Amino acid sequence: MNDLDYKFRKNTLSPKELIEFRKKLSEMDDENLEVLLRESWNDEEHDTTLVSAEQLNRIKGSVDANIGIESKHISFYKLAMRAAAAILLPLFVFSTIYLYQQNSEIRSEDLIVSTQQHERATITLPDGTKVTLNTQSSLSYNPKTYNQKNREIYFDGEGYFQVYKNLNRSFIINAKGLRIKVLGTVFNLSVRQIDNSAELSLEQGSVSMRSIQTGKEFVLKPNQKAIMNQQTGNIKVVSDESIVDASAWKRGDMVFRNTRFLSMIKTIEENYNITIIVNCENCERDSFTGTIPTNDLNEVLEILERSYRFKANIEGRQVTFSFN
Amino acid sequence: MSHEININEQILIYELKKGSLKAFNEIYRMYSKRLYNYSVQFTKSSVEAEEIVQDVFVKIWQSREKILQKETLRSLLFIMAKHLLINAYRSTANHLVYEEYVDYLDVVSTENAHVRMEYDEFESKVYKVIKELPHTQQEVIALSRFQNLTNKEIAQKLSLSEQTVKNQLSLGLKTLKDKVKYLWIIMIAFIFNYFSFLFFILGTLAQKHCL
Repeated sequence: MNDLDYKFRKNTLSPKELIEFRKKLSEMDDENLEVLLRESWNDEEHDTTLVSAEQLNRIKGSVDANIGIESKHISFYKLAMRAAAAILLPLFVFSTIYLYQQNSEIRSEDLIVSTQQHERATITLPDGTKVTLNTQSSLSYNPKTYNQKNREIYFDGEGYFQVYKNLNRSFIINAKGLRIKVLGTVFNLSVRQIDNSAELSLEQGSVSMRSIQTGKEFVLKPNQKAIMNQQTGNIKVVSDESIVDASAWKRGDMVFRNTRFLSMIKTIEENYNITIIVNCENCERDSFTGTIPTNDLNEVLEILERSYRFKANIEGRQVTFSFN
Repeated sequence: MSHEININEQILIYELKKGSLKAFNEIYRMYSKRLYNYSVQFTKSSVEAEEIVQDVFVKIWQSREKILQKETLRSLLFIMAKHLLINAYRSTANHLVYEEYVDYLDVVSTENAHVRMEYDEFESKVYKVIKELPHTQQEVIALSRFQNLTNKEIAQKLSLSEQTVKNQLSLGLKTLKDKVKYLWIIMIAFIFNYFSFLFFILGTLAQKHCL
């Protein structure tokens, strides 16, 4: 059998020998066959030219794959992943920082202070400028850029500005149709989106005021008032000795000078959020001059009762004036 | 490979047991070639020999911690491989293709040993020939020679009479043998042509030189 086994392995069996070999093999049990194999394994040199290094590497590759070790192919993949991670990680970090900053900029972009009806508020801006907002007004600014190059704000409504003096950084107000540039002043500004005119009443310092529509610029001196027609953009500058009247609201007063009676009533209605019904025929043509408090309705009614000799009747938020 | 105690191998075994891949790779380098060449003697087919090598080395890695051999892994490799080798031994020896291959070698090897087909190539040619046989013959040959069923079993399986199975089988095998022989004849004829052409050229050249 050893001879036949050798010939079998070396492919030198003749067809006749094959028949004999098959017969002997079928008679042999596994243990004896193992003994035969062990001998040839241990004692023989084996032709090592039958296999190429490439083939052995390929087998090793599948061995490695089987035992869960990355072969060269897989390690290339891993390498690629690592390279990708190396590139992407800083990218992620930067984009995170960038987005965070963007986000915080967005969040801090505009700080808005606004007042509702019958609300007033005084705010102090980062540079020390004080702004008192009248009812239904709003002021917005960007805390990041404010007081960097200049001090820029957006404004709507009526406000009393006490601008902190800083000659290096202009205080700029962007309002409806207006761009107002000051360095350090005190003035009252009324630019309501719903109004037809804007008014700036300067108490101290100087203000340069430009109409965006016409592009014309005016420089105001104290006790001057600029009135802009919102439709045409034209600015008219007038001198006004009673310039502080404009900011009377701020001190809790409403100042009327030759104001038509109904216009005054309307101002009171708006200020106190009440409805006033006046039963009179010729009082419409009357004009009123005087100061009325903004925070004491009883006193207002008393003043009016005394001035016009009528009786005020309050029912809820409705006031009826009836003449005796 | 020598039987001397190899200090280097002892270290490698020690490292392997601790899980060193480097040692495993080195051991693969030392033994894979030998194992492959040994196995291919029984499988005759390179694909099956590759499978044995792969299987053995995977097993060695997986049971690396339990390795008792201290000096050499030669015997361990055999223990890991023996069942696969014995199976391959019996299966190849009794295989139809091997039988054909022996016939083929008997004709070819004596004179043209250098041009003979390797077993793999021969095997695929035989399978090609089998595929060209009528369907029933293909089936009967496959069941009889590759799955080692008896004629009776095949008859039952294919709902044929035993006699038909016998007839189909002998017919199929005869056609197969003829066709396989035809393959050799073509090849041998080609070789003869090649040589005669070569001699013709040489002859003419020699003549020219003599003149």
